Amino acid sequence: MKSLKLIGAFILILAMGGPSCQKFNLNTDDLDIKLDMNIVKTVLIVQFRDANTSSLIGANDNSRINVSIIGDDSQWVVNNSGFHLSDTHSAGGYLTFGLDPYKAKPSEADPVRLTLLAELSGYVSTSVPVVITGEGQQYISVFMINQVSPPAGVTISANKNAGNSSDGKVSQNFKVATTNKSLEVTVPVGISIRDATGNPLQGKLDLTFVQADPTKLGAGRSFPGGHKVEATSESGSKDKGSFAPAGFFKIDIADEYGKHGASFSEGTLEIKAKIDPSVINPETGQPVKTGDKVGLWNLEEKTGQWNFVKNIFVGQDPLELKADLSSGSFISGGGSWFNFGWLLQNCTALLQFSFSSPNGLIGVTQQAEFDIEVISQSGSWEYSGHINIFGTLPVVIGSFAPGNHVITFYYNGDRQLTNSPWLAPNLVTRNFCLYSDGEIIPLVQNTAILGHDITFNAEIFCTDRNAALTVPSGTLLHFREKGTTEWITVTTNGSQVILPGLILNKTYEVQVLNDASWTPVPPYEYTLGQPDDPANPYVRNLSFSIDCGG
Amino acid sequence: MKKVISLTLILGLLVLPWNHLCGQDSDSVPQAKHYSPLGLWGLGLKATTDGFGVELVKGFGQRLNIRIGYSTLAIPFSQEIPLDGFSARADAKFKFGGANLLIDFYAVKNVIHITGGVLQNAMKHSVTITPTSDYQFGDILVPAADLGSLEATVTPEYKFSPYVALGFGNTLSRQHRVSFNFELGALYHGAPQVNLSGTNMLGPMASPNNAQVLMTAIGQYKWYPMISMQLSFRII
Repeated sequence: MKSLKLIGAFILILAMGGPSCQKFNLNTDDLDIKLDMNIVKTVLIVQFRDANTSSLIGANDNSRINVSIIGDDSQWVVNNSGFHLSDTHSAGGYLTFGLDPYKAKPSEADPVRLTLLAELSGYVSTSVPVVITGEGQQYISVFMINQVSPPAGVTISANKNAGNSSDGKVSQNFKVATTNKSLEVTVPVGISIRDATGNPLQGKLDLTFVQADPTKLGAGRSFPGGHKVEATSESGSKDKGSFAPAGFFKIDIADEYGKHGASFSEGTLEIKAKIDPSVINPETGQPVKTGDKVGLWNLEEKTGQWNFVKNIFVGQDPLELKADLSSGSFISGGGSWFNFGWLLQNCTALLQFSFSSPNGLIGVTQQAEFDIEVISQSGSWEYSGHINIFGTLPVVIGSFAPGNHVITFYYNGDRQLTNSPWLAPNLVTRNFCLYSDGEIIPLVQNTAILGHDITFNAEIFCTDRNAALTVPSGTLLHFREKGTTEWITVTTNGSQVILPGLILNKTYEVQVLNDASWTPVPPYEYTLGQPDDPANPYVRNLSFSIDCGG
Repeated sequence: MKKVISLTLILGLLVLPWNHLCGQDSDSVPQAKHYSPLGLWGLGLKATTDGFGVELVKGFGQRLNIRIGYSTLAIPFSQEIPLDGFSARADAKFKFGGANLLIDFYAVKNVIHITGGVLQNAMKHSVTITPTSDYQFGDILVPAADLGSLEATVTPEYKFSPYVALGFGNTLSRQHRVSFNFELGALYHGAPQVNLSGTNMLGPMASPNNAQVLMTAIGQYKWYPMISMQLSFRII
């Protein structure tokens, strides 16, 4: 009996311990192999818009703007896959790129400087200086001038065979002017014009220039890079500030072999420009008049920096500025921008918002993205950009000169705000030097829009890497209801993205901007069904596969 | 029948050495002897699959001992792991032990006993995977230090685990100052719980799904086998 007890107890122990000897049955295919690819800390999101219509170039066709990224710091520019990027193109009017976080750490003390050269057939090529003073997302709007339908206030003058150059020197005087004589350039005999590599221009010379009247909105948008600048002042110091331009123009001299002038010597280039009498001289606060002093500035495209050239005094009626340039380096690639204007000290532009939901509706996130446009007191364009609003956190827009500024809000891709879940006041007037963050701008829920804001945890499965990646901050996604044509573009933040106004059981098409292409093609289709987690009905997962190009 | 005989022989072999080593003659245990309620105290040193430890043993009569003890063991272990694109190091730490409250019942005189009780289960096993080489992301070289780490921790489902064992020898000899005990048993800790945490690039690997997959893979290991050897010294 005792033996039986003993055996029974032993068997009991084996029975209990036995399961612990079972085979380890891990199926590795069930494991998520997912990496957080928030490696790039500085992301630039560039919109290319038509200066006249303000619409995205290529949003409705396959137009792709060729973009060269130049400047000493351009060596640190990378695409979504981490590969160095210098020449690329836009997709649907957008371009995104980043900086190698281990080679370029932008700061106020050591900013990263780039220049974007944008070219598209039918548009005036333009250059935009970019100064990055900190990590994060930076939005840039590049307005391009359609040569066929330029905005009001922009005059384009293309002068074929305007002059001739032999033995590296202009063989006879020639003068070219816009049809309304608003800009006139005289090139004297004997002047030597050379390209960026030092080779003289030879043969027939074409002279193209674009003149813009900053008091006209569409023309003002063509001001390269916005009015907030860094400039080498008259004293030689590097100053930060904002331009109040009286006029600006671009000159491009090219020979019959395609070489573009980059510097000139042994002669004096004469430039005459007329000023719109409604331009306000910020130094007097009065409309500009004869005798007023205005600076002439030239954009150094490689560094994105404006350089003081000389002071000019406004001439007799009609108000005219006349500049004699004795020698210098002024042209880069497809032309060089000059600016007659005043450099003013900046104030930080800070806005604070409040979200109000009149009907107490749920499912609308207190987060919104808007394009904004800032117009100066005198009605001239100053800045176009993009802001991301998170609750009541203050949003830094940038820096602007003292005085009233009128801010216009546009919902992403929708200038009429019909799709916007939140309606900002269409116009906000603000003098940034008088307000810090005390004035709160209300955002009122758009009750006309149906659906809910859905927050997605977004991930992409890279078919080329056989791994899933969280979508890095600053990645652009666009979506539309299936069967419609207009895309709404949104930006990811910390691998989350909010798609506003989604309606239950409707199917949406989604694409991500990856390496200058919207992918996948055809778009990923997502149908908003019942929530997986009833406790969080407005949080979903979004995952689709693309070739990440890695 | 053959199996029963074989098993009996094995058990017999197991029993004999302990009987001998302990120097206990089961026939010599006075059956009728009464012990003072304040007597029969001992201290034990033990080596178990749940760590090394000490025990305070109190005997009651001929057939009952109560043990309160504590054991601990930490085993560190490192291993280089070659991964796709970079290498990593796995630093594992296996931690065993905890407090115990056990009752020994001597079913077969003073040699073989059944033990039951509860263990405060401080078992915690962890492995931390840390990349040791830089990672090439396009033209960006991400330093190993920035890649983050992934830590997996396995803990018992129940912090207090029932324990049952079959023992040979004695945890507190009534006849000798020194006694030896050997136990085979198991503690029930329930389905092991997996907790994942990760940082930086490896952060998403610590997903709830991955934790669940791992828990499913090891969910059947609800019992932990215990082998214990103990040397006890009777104080009074």
